[in-house]
Amino acid sequence: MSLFVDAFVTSMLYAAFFSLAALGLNLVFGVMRIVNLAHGEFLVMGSYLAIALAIHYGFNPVLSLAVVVPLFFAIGLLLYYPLVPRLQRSDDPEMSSFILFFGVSFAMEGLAVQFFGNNYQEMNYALFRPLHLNLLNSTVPTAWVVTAAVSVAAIVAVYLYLYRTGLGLKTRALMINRDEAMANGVNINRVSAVAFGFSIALAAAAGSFSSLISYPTSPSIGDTFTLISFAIIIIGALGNPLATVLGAVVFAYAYGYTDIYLPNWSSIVPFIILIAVILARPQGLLGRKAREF
Amino acid sequence: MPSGVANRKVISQSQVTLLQQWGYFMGSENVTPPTGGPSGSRKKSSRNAIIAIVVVVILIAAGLTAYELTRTGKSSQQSITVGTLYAGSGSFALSSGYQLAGLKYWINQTNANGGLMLNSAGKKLPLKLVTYNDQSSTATAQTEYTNLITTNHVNILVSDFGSTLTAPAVAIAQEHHQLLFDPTASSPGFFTATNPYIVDLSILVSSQWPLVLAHYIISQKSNITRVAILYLDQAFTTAQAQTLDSALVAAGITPVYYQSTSASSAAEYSTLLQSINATHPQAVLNFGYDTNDIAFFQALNANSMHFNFVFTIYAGLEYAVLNKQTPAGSLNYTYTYASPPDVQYSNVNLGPTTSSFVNSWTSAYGSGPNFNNIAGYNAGLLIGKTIETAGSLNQTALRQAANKLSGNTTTLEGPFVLNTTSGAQLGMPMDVMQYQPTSTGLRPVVIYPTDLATGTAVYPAPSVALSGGSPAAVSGPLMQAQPASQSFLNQQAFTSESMAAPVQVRFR
Repeated sequence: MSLFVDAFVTSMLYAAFFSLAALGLNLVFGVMRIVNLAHGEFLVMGSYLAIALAIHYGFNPVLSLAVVVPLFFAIGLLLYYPLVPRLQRSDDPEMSSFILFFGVSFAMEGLAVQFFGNNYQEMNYALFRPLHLNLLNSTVPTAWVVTAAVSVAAIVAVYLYLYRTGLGLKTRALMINRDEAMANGVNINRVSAVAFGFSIALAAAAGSFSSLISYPTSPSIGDTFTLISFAIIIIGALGNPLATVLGAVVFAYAYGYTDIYLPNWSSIVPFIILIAVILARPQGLLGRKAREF
Repeated sequence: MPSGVANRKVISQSQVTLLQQWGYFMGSENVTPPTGGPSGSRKKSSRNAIIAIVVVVILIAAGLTAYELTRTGKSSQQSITVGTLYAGSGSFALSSGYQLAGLKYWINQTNANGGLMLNSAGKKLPLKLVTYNDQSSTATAQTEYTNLITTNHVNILVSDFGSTLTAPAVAIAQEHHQLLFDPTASSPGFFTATNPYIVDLSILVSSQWPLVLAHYIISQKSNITRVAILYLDQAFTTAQAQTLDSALVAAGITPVYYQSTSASSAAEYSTLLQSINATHPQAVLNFGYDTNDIAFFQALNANSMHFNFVFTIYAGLEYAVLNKQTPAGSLNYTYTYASPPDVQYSNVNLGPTTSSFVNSWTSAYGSGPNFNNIAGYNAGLLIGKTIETAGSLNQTALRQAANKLSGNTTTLEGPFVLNTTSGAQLGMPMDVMQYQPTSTGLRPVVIYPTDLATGTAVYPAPSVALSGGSPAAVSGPLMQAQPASQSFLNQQAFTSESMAAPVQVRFR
């Protein structure tokens, strides 16, 4: 029973982190209909920056968010204008984005190898005191709880942005119908650029904590995070950022329980569930709601 | 210039000449076919015949020259080229760097003494080291091993650290009929009767490592019946886990947990430890590399877990790194393999004794060597002796020379005993020791076999209130102490720190 509770608590914390990791990817798809296959690489870059801040300035990853988030938001804005509008003028933006960001991901991985080498790097749990906490009678590293808490805060922030701000309203309008939004005077480029910036910043924020709760940081781990994020948003619903949370819960519990009971199956079972979801509900678990913003 | 290179050049020029002649010959027929008439045809035939004779004479001369150069070996050979790979980054960077540092130490020492005597050259030749960075990638290693053989034409091919990065070299060396000198790869699968092009120099074949450990656990059957085995899914660690599992099962101890993993982070080990903890083991054995052991101890600490018996491989092999990068107190009462420099060999007949080497290394670098430093140096010693025994750089002769050394050579790492058919190492035993805290630091105590023990084990291990992080690790990430790739050729970076307490040694 204790192990079952351990798995439950661990999966719950994983779910929060995976939500944050995948949220940005779904936001970009929802607004721009483009698939950012370099999403995981941005997450890795955020992780490297947070680790560097920890090494050189002793920054706790929560503190490092003050640097990581604005910096990567700005990078997102800068990348948006030369890349995305061109894609959206193409005949098939989704496929074009697939190919373009596939190339970007390779380039970023190569750069990461050049700059950081292939070393695994990770944050130290000792950055958080006390080292462990008791949660539902299960002892877990404090770092995991902090990671989950930051993830939940980020998700709430995205929710508030989408539902409580004027820019969020325009963002949702774009998600529902791009042409109608444009006809009603929504500045597509401005709204999309902000969404793209948020997406990159969310990925980098997730990266700041990734080595504490999931895989150690290395140039090649970006692909894994892209794959996980992609699976989560498909399970939840493509184009619906908040469905990401549901997708992450399903993915995390599948991963968490198999990781504890059948570790060798932990990288397989979540994807079997993904296939099952695609077969049963191709639009994702909350697919219909994707158009009801 | 190595003789092989010289030979290749001569043959290559002949082949070029032949091709040019042949091309001209064929071309002339194609472009200006015989114009007819008996006189013109005879003239053409006679010219072709002369060209053919000249080509044949050139070929014979080239062949004879090549044969003579090979036979006498007195080519333009001015040095012996040693080629190896190292991991400048990635999961094997630390251990690979240590091995390379040991090998370079031997090369520098040999060159300082005038080089190695090569009978076929009739003189001492200096050693020249060629290295490539494989970045812990087997794909890169595959390319670079091939480059060492086909582009650099190395005389001596030495594999990178460990079974994972040696694996690509095994087939490549066999394909090119180049003997692979293997310092630290011990996967049993590498050594077969059908492959004479590999020799394991510095490390017991991995399936044999846990034999003494298994005997020890079985001897403690009154205390230990619930055993958890967690192992990395790599050849080196899998072989050890399988051997231990088989031995324990045969003795009536069926492990309560037996799991492979690819985990490399503390986060991943945390969930594995939750599973292990739920089985209430009396002994937990984690078979991994240094980075795995560090993550394992970090996870133990972060999850506030304590086990009565914890065994890891690298607590002993790279004590200084583990001690520095794990939370303070993590290694208290940890069991590990006993190997040099903790075990010291004084009755050696090749190279320095272990203590003498430790002293010279310490005076050179300011800190003592670890096992992989010693393994790299030991590999160099045996390569040198093999070359001198063979008297040439012929790869088959080198393997035969290694076989000759087997059974009658003892180095700072212990007896050199080969399976002369497969090339696997059967000497250099791995005993069991435990780190026991004292007022001055941790003391390695050999606990098994009993006739060689320097103390007794403390079981169950007392629970220690850990401080939560070593000073070096608190403010930085786990891999902070890893040398940057740019500094990887700097030997100083590979030296290990001195032990926390005087090493209690056992002399054989």
